[in-house]
Amino acid sequence: MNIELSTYYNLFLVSSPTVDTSILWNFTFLFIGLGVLYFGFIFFFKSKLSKIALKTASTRAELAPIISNFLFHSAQDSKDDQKEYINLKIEIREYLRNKTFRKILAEILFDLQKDVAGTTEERLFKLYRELGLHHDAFSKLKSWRWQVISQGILELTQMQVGESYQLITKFINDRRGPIRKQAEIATIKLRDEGIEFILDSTTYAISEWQQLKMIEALSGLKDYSPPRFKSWLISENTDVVLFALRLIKHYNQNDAAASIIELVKHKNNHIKLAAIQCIKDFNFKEAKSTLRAVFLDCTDEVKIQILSAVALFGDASDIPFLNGVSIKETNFLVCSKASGAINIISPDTVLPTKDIKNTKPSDLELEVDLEKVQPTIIHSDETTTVSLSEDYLEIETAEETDVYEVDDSPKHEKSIENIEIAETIVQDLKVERPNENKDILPEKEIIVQSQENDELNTGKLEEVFEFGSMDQETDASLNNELGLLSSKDDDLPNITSNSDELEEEYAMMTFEQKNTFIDTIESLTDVKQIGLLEEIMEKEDESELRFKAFKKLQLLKTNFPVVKILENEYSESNDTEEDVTVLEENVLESKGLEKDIELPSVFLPLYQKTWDLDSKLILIKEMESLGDEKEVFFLRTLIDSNELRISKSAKKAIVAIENRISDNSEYVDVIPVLKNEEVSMTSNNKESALIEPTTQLNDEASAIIEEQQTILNDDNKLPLELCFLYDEFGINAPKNEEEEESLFDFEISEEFFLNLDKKEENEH
Amino acid sequence: MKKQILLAEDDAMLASLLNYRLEKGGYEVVLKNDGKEVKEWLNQSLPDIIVSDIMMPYFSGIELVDYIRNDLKSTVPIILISSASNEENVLSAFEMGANDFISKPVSPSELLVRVSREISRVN
Repeated sequence: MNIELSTYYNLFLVSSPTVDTSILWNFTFLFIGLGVLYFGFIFFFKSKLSKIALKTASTRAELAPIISNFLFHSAQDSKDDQKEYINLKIEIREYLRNKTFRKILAEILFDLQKDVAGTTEERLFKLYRELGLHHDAFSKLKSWRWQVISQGILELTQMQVGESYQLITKFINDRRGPIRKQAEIATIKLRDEGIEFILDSTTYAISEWQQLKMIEALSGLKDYSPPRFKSWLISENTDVVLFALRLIKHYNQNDAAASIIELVKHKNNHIKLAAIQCIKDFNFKEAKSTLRAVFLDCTDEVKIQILSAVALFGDASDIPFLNGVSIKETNFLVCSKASGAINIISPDTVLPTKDIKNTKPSDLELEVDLEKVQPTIIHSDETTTVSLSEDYLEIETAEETDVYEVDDSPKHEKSIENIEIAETIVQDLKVERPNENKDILPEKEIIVQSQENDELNTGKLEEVFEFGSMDQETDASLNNELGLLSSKDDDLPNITSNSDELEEEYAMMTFEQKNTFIDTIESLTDVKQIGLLEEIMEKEDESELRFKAFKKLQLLKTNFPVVKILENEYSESNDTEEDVTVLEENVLESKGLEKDIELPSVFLPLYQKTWDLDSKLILIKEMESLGDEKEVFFLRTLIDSNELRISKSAKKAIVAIENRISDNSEYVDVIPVLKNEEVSMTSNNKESALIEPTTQLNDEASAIIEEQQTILNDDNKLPLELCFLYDEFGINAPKNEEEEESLFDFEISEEFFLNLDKKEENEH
Repeated sequence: MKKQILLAEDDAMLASLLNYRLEKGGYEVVLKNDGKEVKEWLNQSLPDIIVSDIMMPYFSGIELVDYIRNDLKSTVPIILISSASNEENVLSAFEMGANDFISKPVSPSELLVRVSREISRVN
């Protein structure tokens, strides 16, 4: 039986659970009934509401002409109109007994009150009271619901029911905000003294919005005479004080200066701001001292307002105060306001500094500055030469302005011709120097190179003077005065005076000849060749030759310490460059050397870079231990040293080295034959090489032996002093041979092969 | 003969009040509650003067002015009633050809004076 009633057959874990069909039907009927009931209620109430709305509309339509008649009735109307008016009065009294009708009538009057003005509005107010509708509003005030009370207050306010004033003022300090706010507005609108009552009696806060609403209500009052609001500046309610300040400002009551200035010291920032605003509006200059006094204790917002006030009526006496503020204040806005105030009081005192580029003379200004240089030009047949005196080149480097000014000397007034001062380069002006006049520069090339655009904008003009055959004194003095860079390498002597012939010869050569010529410069056989190499580096069109000259010059500078000696000797003397050759020969002779000898010592650069006596003595000692003929040559130069200890050590070292060389001559045979061949080949290639191969072999052999014997101590360690020297000059210490062997020992030992044989035997 | 005034106002109470005042002022008032009714009535006849609210359903006061001036090619005086917030609409209505406007809240007495002035100007 159960199976027949069930909707589905029950299959375990497959079919849904069985539900009694009768229960489903019962639920269906239940929900249908609920739905019908729901929609029935909806239709019932909707039709009821519609009926009420229709009835209200019809009532309003009926009442509209009645109200119009009441509103526009006058004693001058015709008798028929007077009669109709009386009938309507009787009719409406009947209606007024109905509460709903009164409500509708009140609504009509409230609506009309919004749309009509003038006498019609006044008649409307009167009609409202005559119909006794205000009693309904009074009764609303007794309600316990805040919205009903508010509605009652609003109706009484709208219809200007003056009798309700006393009733409404009771709600001024109501704990419910909406009622309180409605009462405040009503109090103001109903009587002129309403605002005074509020300010006197309110104990609650008055929001800014409410203050604005009350000010708006006050503004809507006709023939309103506001009280002196300064009376409420002493109120204990800060909101009342604040409202009073705003009312003072609104009604321009500027007779409260003392109280307002005192309020700047108030704890409340809003009151401070309002007081400062009043001070600004009324231009109370006497408030300056108070404003400055309270400044430090104020918030940033108040500080800005104070500064704004000071800017408004401040004078020069306030600038120190403003300066102090702009320096000491950490807030950017306050600092900025202070600076702005200074500029208002004293315009253009504070100028913008942030992101301002350091302006330099423009290109045009630079050209004008350069035009101030009026070098004297002497016309020759072929070229235009310019005589420049040092007076013309008094270039003042002004650090602050970074403007290079070139003074003009009145005694040189010859005109300038054919000088192009272009945007980028002013170059190749040949300057002729009369030999007899030391004040005028010698022959030289002046290259005024203006830099890239950026540097041009900053007005930085780098002027490079290349000095040719200029004497040392002039060179030094000019450099000192001008602070200009000389393109001449300071490591080399200025030896170019007599290189004109060489240059001419070089200029006549072909590319191949030039190439060979540069290759032949292998030593300092002719010092003039250094100058020639420099000339090649600068003027040669072929980059390959320029590079070759550069490499050659670098090689000569590093490999030939004689250059240094010559340089030192040359720099100490005041001789002219014409005596360079003689000087060179004298120096070499005084050192007991042949002119073309090629004996650079590895100790020479070390010694030159050593500044203390102890280190020098250590170096001499090391030379004594390691040195050969090269060191002997160098040590001989030290014998004449002013320092006795160096002189004695040098002599001792020379004796030791010479003895060692003579003792170790037998080791020459130890040098491999290949080495001998290399040396001989090298010597054959060098036409200018004067050193015999055997001598060189002796040196190298002795060096190898000495290294093996002396560098390492008994415990195979370097002397401590030498370690410091190696470390100081970045020299890698020689490695122990045993270490090297162990590092690079790739040979297979016999033991390995023996083990291998044993393994094979075991396998078999 | 009474001058005919077409009063177009969607607020029934205000319309009734103004209607009463204008009738009492000696004018024949035709009251219409929306723009559609006004347009239909204007297709049949033209009043001596039109007093219309700017904000009306279906057909605004500005459209009404445009319709009268451009479609009907009529120079009948038009006084517009507007709230203060519709000042831009009033200006555009003047550009369309409205003769006068009065803002809410309306003083019925003032409106009566303006109507009489416009009618006397046309005459």
